[in-house]
Amino acid sequence: MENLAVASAIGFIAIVVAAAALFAESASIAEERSAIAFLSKGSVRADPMRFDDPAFSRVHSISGGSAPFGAILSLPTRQGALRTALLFRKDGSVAAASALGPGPAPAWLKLLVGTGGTSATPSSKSDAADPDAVSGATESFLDVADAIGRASASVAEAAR
Amino acid sequence: MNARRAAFVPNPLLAGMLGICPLVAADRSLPEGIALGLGAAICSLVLGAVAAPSRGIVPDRLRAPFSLALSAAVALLYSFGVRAYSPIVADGLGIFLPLLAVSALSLHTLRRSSAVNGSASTRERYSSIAKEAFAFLATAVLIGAAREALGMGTLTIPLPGEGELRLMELPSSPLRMLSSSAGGFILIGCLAAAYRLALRGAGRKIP
Amino acid sequence: MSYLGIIASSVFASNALLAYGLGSIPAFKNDHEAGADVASKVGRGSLASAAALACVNALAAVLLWCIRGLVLAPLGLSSLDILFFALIAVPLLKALSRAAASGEGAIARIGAEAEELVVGSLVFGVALIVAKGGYSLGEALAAGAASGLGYWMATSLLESIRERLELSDVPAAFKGAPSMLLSAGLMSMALMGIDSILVRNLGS
Repeated sequence: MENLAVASAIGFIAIVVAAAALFAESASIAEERSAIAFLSKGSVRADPMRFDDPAFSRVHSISGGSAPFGAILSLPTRQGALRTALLFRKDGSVAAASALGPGPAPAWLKLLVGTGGTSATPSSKSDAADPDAVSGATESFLDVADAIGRASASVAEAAR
Repeated sequence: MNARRAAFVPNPLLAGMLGICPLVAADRSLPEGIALGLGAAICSLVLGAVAAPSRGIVPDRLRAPFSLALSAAVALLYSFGVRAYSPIVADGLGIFLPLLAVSALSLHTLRRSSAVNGSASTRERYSSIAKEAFAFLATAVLIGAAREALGMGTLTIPLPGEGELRLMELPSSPLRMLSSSAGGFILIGCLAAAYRLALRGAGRKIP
Repeated sequence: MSYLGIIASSVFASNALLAYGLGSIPAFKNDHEAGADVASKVGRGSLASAAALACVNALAAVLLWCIRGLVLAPLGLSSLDILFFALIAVPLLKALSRAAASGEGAIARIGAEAEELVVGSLVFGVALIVAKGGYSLGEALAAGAASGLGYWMATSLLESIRERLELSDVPAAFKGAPSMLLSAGLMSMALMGIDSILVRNLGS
């Protein structure tokens, strides 16, 4: 009887947390759609595609905007996570990138626009269009490029 | 004088090294310090409030899994709240928000509250738990503020959504190393030593 | 990343103690300080400790990988990983440790050490880092085991530093945990000098 009571209590706790998780997810999706719609000037569809990646969990389809796909990525840098809104073309290449939050975006972020899809994301500092802009942040730049590469591959696969 | 000394509760972080794990790696700014300190305090207070009353309801062999499940649930609910308030802070904290489930402060509170032969009354026990939780919060905020000011040259307060209120901005960061785990270890080590000096100066025994 | 890169990265560049601060309490509390328990003995240079750390972290990483990838992610509930880890993986790990501890010889020693480790920031933290790292199952196993060994390496080094500091004339305020924290900070700084890009590309 005691075992049943404890199991029921734990089950109730799990249900409450799961309900909260679903509510939190829908709020998070709404926030992402708002950020992507602002960047793309288009309309973001309601049901995103889901992925299990350390940097991103959803890719949104856009209609009428400057690119057909968008995602919010949490990009790893030495100073912590950099939340970035990215737009992707059908082949997975990056059409636009915009750091969210009030601080200035790192100068090397714009070097990643146009990469992905048929042209690979940089795998070393020398692959960047302006290696001097990357100096001092090589590890962050390559981690970010790697994350964007995975997002790009996921978009290209989803577009097929 | 003896009653005043009896009420003294040592700082759980600086005296007992409790809850140090997330502060070393993730408490790099004032917003992160507030989030981590508040999270650990809330988990500790909830577990402290539930542990003693549940002693008569939950059998001994099920108390540990029940407490761990409750701790994980509180940590998760708190992390959803942090993400709803500021996704940037939640992303910056990463795994350390769900890790509040096994915060040493919470586990310490649980052990003390579950002790059958404790001599303290319920009110004294709750008062002691609350003091420890507040001391931890204050220390986490101090560490975050110091690391952000000296390590990044800024001081910010998180606003709802993607915003922040910048209280200070220096042209360059004075001690960039403080933003890393190495700087976290060194800063907390120095603070712990300063705390011991302060205790010695106040005539108290070092815990 | 190749297996060699994963192992080298988990042991050095992403060391569980020195890079993430996981498992700090057993590392910095010595046996004489109030509140120290059996867990403070883990990582004190013995091979049983190394084996316990590697096994527990590897199993924990694999269990959370399975829970997250096979159960929660398809349902869109990946954010609940820590709750299900606490409900499913922790009792399983404790049961396995207890079974090992009731054996004989080295297995019993490893089991006893492992049982103390299960509920702690080290095991939970390593499991979370590995499960969210985008690894395959084999890579998760390697990363978990390597993280445990990296922690053992760091705590063994800190233990030998502690023994030397006890014989030195350290100011009273810095005796014990404060001096150990400063030592860990300096070791962490040394590891920061390792080129993590080079380490990750090892073997590829």
